Amino acid sequence: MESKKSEPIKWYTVVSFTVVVLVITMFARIPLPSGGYFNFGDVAVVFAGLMLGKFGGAIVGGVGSALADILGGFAIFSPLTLLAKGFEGLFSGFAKNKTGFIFWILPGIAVISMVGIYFVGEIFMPAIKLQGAILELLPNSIQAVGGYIGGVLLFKIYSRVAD
Amino acid sequence: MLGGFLTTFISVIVLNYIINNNLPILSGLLILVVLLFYIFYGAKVFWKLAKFWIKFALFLIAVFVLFGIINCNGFERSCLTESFFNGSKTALILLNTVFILELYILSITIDDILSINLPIKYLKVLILMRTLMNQVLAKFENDKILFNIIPEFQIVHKSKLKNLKPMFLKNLIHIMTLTFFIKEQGEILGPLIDNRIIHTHKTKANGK
Repeated sequence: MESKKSEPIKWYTVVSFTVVVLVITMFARIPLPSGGYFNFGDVAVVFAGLMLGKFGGAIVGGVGSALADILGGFAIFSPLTLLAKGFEGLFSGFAKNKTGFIFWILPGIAVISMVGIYFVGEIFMPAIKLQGAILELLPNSIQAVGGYIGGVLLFKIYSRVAD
Repeated sequence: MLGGFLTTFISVIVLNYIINNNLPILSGLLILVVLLFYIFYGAKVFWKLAKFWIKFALFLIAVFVLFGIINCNGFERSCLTESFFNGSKTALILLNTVFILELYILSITIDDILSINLPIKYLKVLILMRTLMNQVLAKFENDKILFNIIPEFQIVHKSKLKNLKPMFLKNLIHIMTLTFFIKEQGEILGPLIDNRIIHTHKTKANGK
């Protein structure tokens, strides 16, 4: 399954990808027919995980997305985002240098874990509760599906272009 | 900065866990926080933030009412009144928390963060992040204009279902372009920062 041994990641590569996740989460989004928006933050997190591996993916996904929440007016969600997107990046990162079934399934687990962590976390938030968590379930699931498709697709395109 | 953080943290804890059942206090606090927002940051900044959160709070009340109607037992008052009351309390806690956090966050500048006496290994991360952010924000807007010139991506009705795919692809290409750019800049600036640290901090420590 393991195709090649990767070299250690430099600190500035982690910072660069954190900025990518931060900017993409804050500014790249498309309107949906339902009236809401799909933002590309999850695409960037899955992509960063696949590029950097588990530790890089966890740091970049968690910190980049939490910073985007703080700067974008969603600071109330930032601790939960740190955890949810951190795990999303971590699980995606496990798929780095993997091929076949493992490569396709791990980012899927990553985005499902993100939806699950948000749902459970929001239930325990006094300002959101179960009702608010249910309200967030659909948009988060749309984010998860888009994040999975976009992240894996982007990684495939990027690898081909970079080669 | 630390004082502000502690005040905000304690306010949020008190709001969420101590006065979370008192509707008049929550309403009064919201009026006070909104007034402070208006005074310090003006109406434009407030409404930009409030637009999303007020809509979310109203949806939250609606879901509470819906839950109250479906799961109606054990309330002293009518189900509708009780669920509306609970929904309003939660919505007020949410709005107060969001605005209190934003009042603090908007008061912090990057210079405040850089002025904290952090070790150089953490400070260099902040410096690179700030530099990359400045570069990328200008590039992001330029790229957006360039992508909109490409015939396949000239989409008029953006919220139509058939246009989702080209818009999705357009954004993927945009992300890829940005990634190449930021990664390249990081690879240039990162070693330069490391180099400067070696030649200033280490030389100073050695007394040269």
